[in-house]
Amino acid sequence: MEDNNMELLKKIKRIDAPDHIYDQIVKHIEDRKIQIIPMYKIAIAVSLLLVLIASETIIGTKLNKVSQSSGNLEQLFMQMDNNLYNE
Amino acid sequence: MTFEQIYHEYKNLVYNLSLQYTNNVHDAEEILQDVFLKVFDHLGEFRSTADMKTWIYRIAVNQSLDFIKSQQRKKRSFLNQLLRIVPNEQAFEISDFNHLGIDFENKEALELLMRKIYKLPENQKTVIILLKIEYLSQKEVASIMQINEGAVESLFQRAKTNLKKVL
Repeated sequence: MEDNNMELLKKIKRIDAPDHIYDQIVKHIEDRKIQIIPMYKIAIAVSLLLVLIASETIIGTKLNKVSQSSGNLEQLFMQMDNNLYNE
Repeated sequence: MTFEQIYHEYKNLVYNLSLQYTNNVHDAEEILQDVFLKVFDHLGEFRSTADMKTWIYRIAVNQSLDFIKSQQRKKRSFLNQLLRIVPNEQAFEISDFNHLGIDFENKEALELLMRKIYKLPENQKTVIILLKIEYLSQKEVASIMQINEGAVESLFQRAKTNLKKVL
């Protein structure tokens, strides 16, 4: 039975690939080229992002200092308040 | 050789090989495209001293096996199982047998045989296809599969035994 199977496989014919496939492949390759974003656009986007992050860091740091100062002032007032009660 | 020349030289080789794996002309066309896109992408890396035919065979074998695996994954997806659209065992069957290389005279017997080959483990399936349908030598098959000739023979014998069990 094994040899019959191998003999049967010899009856499979070879067929030609359809003609339109090459054109589809070429179109696919061309479509891929169009989709690639130009490098300079990526560079601009990355730069803007870095500027944004840097700005946020700087502003955030300044805001923190201000709020710390406010916190100190608040504490000072509370102390003064307490002093008043203690008199 | 230009890409176009390479395509026209090897298109039938790749198409027929894909057809032996998938037994469906539309799937074979899809694999044919994928193989040559890969060839295009990696042509620069291809060493001119190496055998291009072996290289292209290797890409075609891998693409065909990957295609079959992805089809089986889709069929076995959780949703399919949940909704019982496709029972698990059917995921390993050929759902749409459409092999133009099989004529009407031998259709029934060959279809049965190809369905059994389809269910073999990947390495055994590849050896049967390359040795007995593509008529490559053991040395060529060993080179494509990157194993030694002894391993090719061993896989071939196991494939024959497995086919005998299911037939």
